[in-house]
Amino acid sequence: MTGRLNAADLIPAGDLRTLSLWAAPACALLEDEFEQVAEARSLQGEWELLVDVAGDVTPPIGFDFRPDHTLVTIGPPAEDGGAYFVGLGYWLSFPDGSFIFGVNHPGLQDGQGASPGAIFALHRGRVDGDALTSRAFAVVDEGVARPFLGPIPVRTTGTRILPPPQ
Amino acid sequence: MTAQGTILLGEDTTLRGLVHSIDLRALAFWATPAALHIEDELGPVDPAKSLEGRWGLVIGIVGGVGPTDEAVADFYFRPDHTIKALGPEADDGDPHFIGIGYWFSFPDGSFVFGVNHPGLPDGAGGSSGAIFGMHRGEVVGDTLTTRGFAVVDQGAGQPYVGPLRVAARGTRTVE
Repeated sequence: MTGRLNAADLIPAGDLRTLSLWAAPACALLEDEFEQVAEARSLQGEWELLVDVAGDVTPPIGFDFRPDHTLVTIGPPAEDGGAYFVGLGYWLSFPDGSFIFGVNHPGLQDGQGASPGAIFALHRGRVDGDALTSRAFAVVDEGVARPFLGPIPVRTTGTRILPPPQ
Repeated sequence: MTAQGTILLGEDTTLRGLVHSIDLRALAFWATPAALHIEDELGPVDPAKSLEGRWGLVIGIVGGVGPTDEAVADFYFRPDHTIKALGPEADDGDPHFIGIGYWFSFPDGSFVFGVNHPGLPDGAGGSSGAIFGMHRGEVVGDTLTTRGFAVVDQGAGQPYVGPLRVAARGTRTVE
């Protein structure tokens, strides 16, 4: 996924930097409390997720859970050929394979895809080998001074994108 | 709480220009789904065991020695699960920092909160840099204690300082 996901071109680096600064103390708290997370039970790496919103399942969406506990994702193709959304967020894994991640899909300019607005979703789930499942609530920001849409319950399943065999 | 603190915390619009209102709005959007998960999983939180409301906090670096290693701040844990925090008065009369963040309480009285104190421009208080802190703790009656970690942002392209171990104690502000 790394090849077609050039986050630096799409997302202001400052936003991801700020998210990693939020995530750093949280990770320090977790490591202080628990043992380290085994690689096989961690979200870290690249995954393809299928998101089920009220029975409508999206095409596979690539998620890159980065080592600094930020995440970058690009949504499925929209009718205008752009990505449906570009999302960023943060993630935390626990030693038993459970995890949380929060993701925000900001709205996109016309002609660069189609997003119904800025979507904020928080997922809880579990890694089991090279598969994951999660449940989430999502809210959609319709703009300042307007109430948000939702919360919308969401379910996901995912598979780890394994590096090609040597 | 200082008179100035009461004014700033009571009036959302007063903070504009120092803390962008969109930042708190964005934080509320992050916090809302998370608060729903917690309530869905664990049930509602008794208000007496919740952070919601106003608290006076003393936050310090664990093992710190100097007066600069401890700070007094007024924290307003808002109903939408965002935080506005006002640091102590600086030499120029303005707060040393204004922080924003988010919080979650659990039914047993435990909680987590994250807070970010953005740097302030000269002439509008003084700040040692943008500080990001995450705390875990417990409400007991009208007091709280926390343990946490903080990192300090030294600017783009530079490594952050920390994580530093921090701790806080606080009392609920009677209104």
